Amino acid sequence: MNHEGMIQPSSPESNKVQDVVQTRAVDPRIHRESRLPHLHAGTVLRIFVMVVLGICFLYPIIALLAAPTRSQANMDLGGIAIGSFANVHYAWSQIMGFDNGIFLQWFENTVIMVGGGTILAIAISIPSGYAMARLQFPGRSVLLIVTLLLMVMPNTVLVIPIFLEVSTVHLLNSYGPIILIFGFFPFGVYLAYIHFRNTLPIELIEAARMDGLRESGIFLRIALPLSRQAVALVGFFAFVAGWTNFFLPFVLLPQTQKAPLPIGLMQLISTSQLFNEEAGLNVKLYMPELALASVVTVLPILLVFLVAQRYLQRGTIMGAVKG
Amino acid sequence: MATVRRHHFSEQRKEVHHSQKKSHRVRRRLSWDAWLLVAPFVILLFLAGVVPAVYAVVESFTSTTSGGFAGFANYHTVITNFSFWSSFEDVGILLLVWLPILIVGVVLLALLIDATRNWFGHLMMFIYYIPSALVGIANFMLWMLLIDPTVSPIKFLLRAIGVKTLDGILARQSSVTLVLALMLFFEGAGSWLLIVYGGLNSISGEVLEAAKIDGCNTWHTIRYVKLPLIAPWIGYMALMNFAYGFQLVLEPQLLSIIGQGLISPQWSPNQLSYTFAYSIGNIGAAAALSIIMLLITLGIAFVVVTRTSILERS
Amino acid sequence: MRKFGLAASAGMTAIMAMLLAGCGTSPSSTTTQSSGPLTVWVDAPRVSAVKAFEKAYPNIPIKMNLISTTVSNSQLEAQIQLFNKSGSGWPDVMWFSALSNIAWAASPSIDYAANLTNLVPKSVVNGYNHDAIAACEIGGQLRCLRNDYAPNVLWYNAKLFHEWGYTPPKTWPQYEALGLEIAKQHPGYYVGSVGNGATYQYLWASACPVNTLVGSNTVKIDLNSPNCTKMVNVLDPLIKAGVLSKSPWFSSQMDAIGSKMVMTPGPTWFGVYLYEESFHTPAGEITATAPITWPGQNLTGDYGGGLWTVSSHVSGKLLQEAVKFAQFVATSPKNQVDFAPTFPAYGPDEGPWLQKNVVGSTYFADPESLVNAFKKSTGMVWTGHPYLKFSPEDIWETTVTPALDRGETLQQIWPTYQKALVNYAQEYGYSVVTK
Repeated sequence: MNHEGMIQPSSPESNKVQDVVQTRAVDPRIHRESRLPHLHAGTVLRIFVMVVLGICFLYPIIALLAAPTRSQANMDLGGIAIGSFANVHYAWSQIMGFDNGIFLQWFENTVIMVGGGTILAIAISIPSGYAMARLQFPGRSVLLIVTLLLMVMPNTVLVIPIFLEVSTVHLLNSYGPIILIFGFFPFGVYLAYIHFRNTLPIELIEAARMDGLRESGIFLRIALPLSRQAVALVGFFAFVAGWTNFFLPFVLLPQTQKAPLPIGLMQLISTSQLFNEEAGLNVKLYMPELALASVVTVLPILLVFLVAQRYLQRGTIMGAVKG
Repeated sequence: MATVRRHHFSEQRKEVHHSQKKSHRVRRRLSWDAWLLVAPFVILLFLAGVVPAVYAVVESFTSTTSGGFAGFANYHTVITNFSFWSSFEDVGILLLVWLPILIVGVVLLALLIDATRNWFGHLMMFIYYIPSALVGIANFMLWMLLIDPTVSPIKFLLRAIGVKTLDGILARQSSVTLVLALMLFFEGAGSWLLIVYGGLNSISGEVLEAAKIDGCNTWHTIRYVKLPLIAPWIGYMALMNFAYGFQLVLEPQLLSIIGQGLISPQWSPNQLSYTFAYSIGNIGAAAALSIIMLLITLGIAFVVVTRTSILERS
Repeated sequence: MRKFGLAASAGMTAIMAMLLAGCGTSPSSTTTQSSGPLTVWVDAPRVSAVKAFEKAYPNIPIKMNLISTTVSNSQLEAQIQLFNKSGSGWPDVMWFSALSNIAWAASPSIDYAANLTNLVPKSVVNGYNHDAIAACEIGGQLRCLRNDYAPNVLWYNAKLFHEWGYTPPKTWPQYEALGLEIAKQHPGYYVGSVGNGATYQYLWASACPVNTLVGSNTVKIDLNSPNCTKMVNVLDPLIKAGVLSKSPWFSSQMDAIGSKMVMTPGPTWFGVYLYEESFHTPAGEITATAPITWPGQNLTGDYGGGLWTVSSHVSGKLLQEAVKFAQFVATSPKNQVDFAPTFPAYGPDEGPWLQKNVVGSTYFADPESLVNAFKKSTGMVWTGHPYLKFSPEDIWETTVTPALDRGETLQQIWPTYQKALVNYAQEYGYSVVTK
């Protein structure tokens, strides 16, 4: 859509100018806000609604964040309260006391497999998304439909056969297969496909062809430099999908030493005194400890969000790219 | 780059004749190059998608006890199971409650952010996203905290609607559905907000300017311009979430742990499939149920894909 | 931007390399062999048992893996099922935290748990309380070694009983009468809970045929048996009087009313894990006495207990080591007395364990009464309820608990529950008789 103005001069300054022009064109109210000292009634209402919704989204999260600062006895009182840093310290010492600090091992494992998987997902999704969007080849539309259908395929269908495949080549308990499967990210291919459809005019490719560039050359010299946005988005979504994946590593990495965080977290929960009353565990794992473990587990996702924020919040996931 | 492009356009006209002669050779090379670019994806697609799917189909017609051809026996086992229809009913009602909440909620959030393109909008977007980071096992702690009236930070709300115990919530099918719907909304809204907002952002300024000149007020612009233009993204969101909700496993499982077994381990069809596969040890029946679900999902996906413009949007 | 392209093509090369590499690597270390390190899967509290074994047998190399249990047994089942599909990967020794797991692990379709009948000396098996090892005896074969044991006794608050002038009940009619008395005289206090599957301690103490095996694959489910209904008739009035809590034992709601739990039938581990650690009842108040029984029926129920299994896929030296391991952790005082936090199922370890954990504890009100209660309860557990592939306790939680919460009586729920039990039994491939 809107091929005019798709490809903008890429110097940062003119880019900024373009952004401002675009913003004003899209929403005249912003423009007015910057000139007029008083706010429009609609704007006030909108801000109010957004803040109220924001509180609804944030309040439970704050309660979770505050939990590690409280003691279990204090948690039983309910509500929301901020305790002390000493409690956080205690909770962390309990987590680290579980199986000699295996928590850090889980963290490291997750970084390795999700990092590898994300890079692979980008490396696979971008070229295939480009090819499906801008090249004609036999089987293209079938591939497109299969890609979309794969995104809705039930996991149960996949788990057993994938396990058998991996087990046949004796690669259980190694990260290779996990990274490969994390790298297989149809949603990323779809994102890249939409990205190139919307940002890369076919004329540009044809012109490059006239210049005698090979297709791979066109991809490397013309499409890739335009794909930062898609890389950020595919990377972000692949990262989140991998970081939160439970069942695949559970099945493919039966050894706890090799497990990623979600499995570790499940292990903490299931071994905790909250559920395993007669266990006699050497550390105390109650709500504050489990909450802390959960918070540490999800923190990287929020960090990656902040890093990718520029691309995510420009929000041009499937839309026109302005830079 | 813009200059490059103009340059090529002018040359293009001159070379039309020449290019037609080359076109056959170009196309062959082109299709080889294209396959090279998609090859890694296609290989993985076979390993992690096609082979497993074919395997599941074969398993669904194989007897787990004898290993021979079972005809439709596995399908019969599944359909006559006492939890079969009730699990579809559970998930069906959940989808009816949750999908509208999700779609309306996400579109509303996206419109609000779309109308607030400054630091404040960006901040709110981040805030709306945060719960999405808790998807999966981490969600467990959050909800354990939230729905247990004894420890809940929203104790006052729960008391206000007359809930005093955790069982008071989880012992009723209707409130289980509601809790699951909220859980799914809370963990999913942020991610889908990013996508739908992307759709809104791609609407060109000229279109909106034209609408304004035609005298559209904010509401009319939303109703007649923005919503129709982002319809494909909404359709896409509906389809993906339908698939997710229909195949739900983790959330009812987590809720069941929180509720100490109050929710059946065969609440959703996919959970029933897990029971067949691992607990009962009848992989054939599990595969048959998966195939039934796959067919339903694919059927709906096919209708959505062919009736809407999710794929070939221009 | 050019760097970017390079990175992408490098990435693609890496994928191809990985795909090719998939074909020629060495077998994974979890493949079961007849020699090599002994792979044991345990949950976190059992790590000390493994350490004790390593200390006692320093020349048997152990490879330990920590597993999740209790809330995620279905995931454990998934792993074993997948190992079965692939024909390798099983651990050599495995810990199961629920007794019902053994029926699954020993069933023909899973066949993980090895038959230990000829591998474990008769003297060891005879050392067990017969009702403790019964859970492991499936179809005449010994398929596991029981770790701990949890017969029910009657727990009560000696301080309050003394103040109120009550004596602990000995029979179920006395229990009912005292419960109703407490409801009248001391409203707000509780005498037990029906909030989760642990309610089975009542039904099993009464020999109610909920899942009695009457053939190799035939289950008797007869909730209308007088053995069931007589207990329902005790429980319903107490539920109505409000002295039986509807909260599960280990929940924040229960913790909140814990100080009001003046008595309850409960397993041997309730004293420490429930009263001391969850309810924080002060020291010197809680004690236990002999299990409540029906006149003429010297039976009690039980709640909990884990077990050790050896893989049916090992052989040779590794099998011997696996059996040695299982036997050590299940019966040796070096583990059961020195480390195990729970009441041992192996008879000879009981006395020293009680000495260390009950007499040596400063928490209980009347340690002597407690020791006598524990000793009396061993051997009293009703063995008419085998552990099957489906768990009636779990079905209780999904069927009966919600109905109780809605205010129905057990008598009203009974037909629904009977039907649910039959459904599950059939789903798991059992034939059902109802009379």
